[in-house]
Amino acid sequence: MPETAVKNSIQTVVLAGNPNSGKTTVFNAFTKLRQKVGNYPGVTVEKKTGTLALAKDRIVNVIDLPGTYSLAVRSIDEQIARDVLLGRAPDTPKPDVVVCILDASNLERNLYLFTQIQDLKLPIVVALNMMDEAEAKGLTIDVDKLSKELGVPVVPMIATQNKGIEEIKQCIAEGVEARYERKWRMSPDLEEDVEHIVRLLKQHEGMDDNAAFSEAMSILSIGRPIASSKDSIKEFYKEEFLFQIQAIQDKLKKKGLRARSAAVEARYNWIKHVIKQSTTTEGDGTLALTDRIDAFVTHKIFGWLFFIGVMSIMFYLIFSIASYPMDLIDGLFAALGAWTESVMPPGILTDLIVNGVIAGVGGVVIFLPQILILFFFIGFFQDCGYMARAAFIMDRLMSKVGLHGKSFIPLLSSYACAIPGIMAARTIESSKDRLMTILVAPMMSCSARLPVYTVMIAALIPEASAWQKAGIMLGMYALGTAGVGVMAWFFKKTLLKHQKPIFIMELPPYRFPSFKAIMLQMADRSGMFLKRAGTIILAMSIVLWALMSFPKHDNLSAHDALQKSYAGQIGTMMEPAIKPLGFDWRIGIGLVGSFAAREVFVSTMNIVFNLDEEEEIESLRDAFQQATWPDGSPLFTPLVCIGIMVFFVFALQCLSTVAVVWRETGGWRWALFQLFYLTLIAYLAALAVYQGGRLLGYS
Amino acid sequence: MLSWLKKETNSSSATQERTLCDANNGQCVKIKCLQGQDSDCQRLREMGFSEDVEIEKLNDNHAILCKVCQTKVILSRQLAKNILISDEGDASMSEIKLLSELTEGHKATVHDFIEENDTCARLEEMGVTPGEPVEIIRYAPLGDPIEIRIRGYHLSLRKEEADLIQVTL
Ligand SMILES: Nc1nc2c(ncn2[C@@H]2O[C@H](COP(=O)(O)OP(=O)(O)OP(=O)(O)O)[C@@H](O)[C@H]2O)c(=O)[nH]1
Ligand SMILES: [Mg+2]
Repeated sequence: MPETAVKNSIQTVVLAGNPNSGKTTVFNAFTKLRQKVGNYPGVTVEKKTGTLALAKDRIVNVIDLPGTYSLAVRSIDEQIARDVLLGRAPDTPKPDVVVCILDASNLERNLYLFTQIQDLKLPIVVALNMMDEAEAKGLTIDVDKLSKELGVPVVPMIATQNKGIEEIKQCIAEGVEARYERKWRMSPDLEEDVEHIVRLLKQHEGMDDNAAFSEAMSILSIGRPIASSKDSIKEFYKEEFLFQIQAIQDKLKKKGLRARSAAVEARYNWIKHVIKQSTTTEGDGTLALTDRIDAFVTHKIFGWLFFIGVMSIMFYLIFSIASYPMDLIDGLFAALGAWTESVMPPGILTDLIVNGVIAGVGGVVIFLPQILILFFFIGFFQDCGYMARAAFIMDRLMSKVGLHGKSFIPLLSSYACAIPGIMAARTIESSKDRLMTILVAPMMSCSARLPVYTVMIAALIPEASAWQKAGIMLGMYALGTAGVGVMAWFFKKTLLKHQKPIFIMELPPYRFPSFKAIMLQMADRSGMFLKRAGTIILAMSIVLWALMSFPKHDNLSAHDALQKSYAGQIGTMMEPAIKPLGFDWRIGIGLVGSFAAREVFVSTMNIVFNLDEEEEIESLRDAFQQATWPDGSPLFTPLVCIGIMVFFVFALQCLSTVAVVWRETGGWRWALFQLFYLTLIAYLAALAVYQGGRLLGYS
Repeated sequence: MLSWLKKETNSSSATQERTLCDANNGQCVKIKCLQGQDSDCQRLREMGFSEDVEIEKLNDNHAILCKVCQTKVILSRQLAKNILISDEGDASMSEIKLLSELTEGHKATVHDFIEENDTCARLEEMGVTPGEPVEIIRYAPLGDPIEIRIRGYHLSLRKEEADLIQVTL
């Protein structure tokens, strides 16, 4: 291919737009990937790359960006979007075409970002998404007129139904040119000053037209002397230039011109004009159903009742419905173990497979149904639009401890897994609030704790009804959440003093969740869970089995042999430290294993008690009931069961979380601090449960 | 007597700046101006909260839920305090009621008196003047007298007196 042709052809297509306008939906339609989509602002917090086949042999890169309301960025996710658009991101090429995705039902606000991107003089195609909702609101948009007013191609689209995707591909394939002339104007005085600053920037900094203009606009809208601004601009510019700008700003102030709001107003005025030309509204432009639901779920009292009710139902289902498939899986693994034992000659290998692999991995895999139900609910919340409402009713409570509504979404996501939760904290503007959210997020009980809680609840009350189990489970989740509150309050008072948090968030309309998307996400999640079971948990099971089986002591009883094994020795060594919690060396082995992954506790317990007993054990629950201290007193007393659960509520036993915190906070300091303080709290809380309970006369 | 009135007037003129927090649920108000940090104001403007825009306050539950540019937006209370509002612009829109028609906890602004008489003059002397925000604190068990807050202090009115005062919401 001749070189010029390569240069002219498009290579990088960037999807930009307001949060929740459907960028990722379009990205998935383009690339056939399955990035996460959800009905709340701030789902995507990283740039994601994929490829799109425009024609048979024309493949281009597509980049999905986090949503942003403006190029004057305030949070990390917005910064990622801006850097890519400005071509400042180090590992990403400058975009050849920007597909600007607009929510047609909310054109006015969405066009604001469009005007800013247009100022960058990049070739733009507008995807007018959510046409179905615009119609439902009674909005009719004249697409040709809009295209003419904006000066760019406009493609109407319903991304969820794949409508308009082919058209926009064609539009990109045909090529887009950047013809642009700024149409919004401020008052003549201001325009003059902007031109002046642009001239200065070009002269002093050697900027090109576009960059100088957008820089000039941001200088004016920041509105304070740059010399004292916190931004990095100061390092950018020469003294003399700063001086001249200061003079211009002073002059504006004297004239009493509203320089700060002038640009925003000018853009909005132009947008209003465009909208007037190209759209007509029938009715009052509201979604009646959304309003009616909102009146209920954001109500001071009903909102709370609704939230707690939904959570209780979720936990109830986790215990009631899930028990059938769990029994089934349990039976399968038991049968598999028995069959393996019957066909294989007795020996170390059989022992490894039956007691190590099948007992260990099987003991974890049986929790798959519960995890599926949890993810179904979380997916449902995220897709229907309830998340932002819950953030609203939570704000009162959270502001008491110094968090705010925006931290709610990262924290709620942490119920699934702390890692996406910590990533989602990127949407929080203030770095201190963000750090605080990251530090407390792992206390929200993630799905990996579910197996531990379930096993311990069964040991605590063997004959509990599903409602009782759900109640205890809810209690554990509530305990973790309370821990979040207390620690957030504590950090706010000590390490991370900061002014009052400020937040602003858009409420999307309710949307019917796409069950296909929820199912796909559940499938992804269970795939990940099974992969963990097949890799880390399998490996840990084998390692722990080996540590528990060697060195061999043939002449001892099973129990004594286990205690003399390597793992037993480690456990025995630990016993003095954990005895105050009421834990013995066998639980100690489980705790050590659980620092690789929380579920390993359950698999380790399975292995421990499979090796410990001479007889085949019926179930872990029975083994727990039979387990005793050397003096014959029961080991798993109610206090110990609760203590183990409480330990797991707080302890940070997850290497991937430590790694992500390390990356997100840009250093090892906070990651290790978090590991340390959470382990400490876990230990003290379990100690308090056991010793406090004994003082009160419980066992 | 006049001296305390003056003092009260001064302190209340500061509170007379109504912010979005003071608006009633369901009320449409116009933004007068934004205050506070520049970067916060900038983002508010970009989200559509610019001067002279009409917004509707929907719900107040510490955070504030309002509708702007046909979108629902949640604001934290601190941010809402930075939004100064006026309802002069739409005084024609908001209906005029009698003070006695309001229920406990309602806030309103004194509009005018129904008639000119001595009682009204006395009320005016007590600080019940047009443009002043009032709040109903409570009704006595039989609906009379009514305790209100005006200019930062509590005032007890008889029902007949409250019947004379017109207010706007
Ligand atoms: N009714 C309707 N819903 C849509 C359409 N396109 C996307 N959605 C829904 O809008 C919501 C947001 O979609 P996303 O693709 O996650 O939006 P995004 O722009 O990537 O959002 P962020 O990553 O948060 O910036 C999802 O619930 C989608 O199902 C559409 O054309 N019509
Ligand atoms: Mg997205």
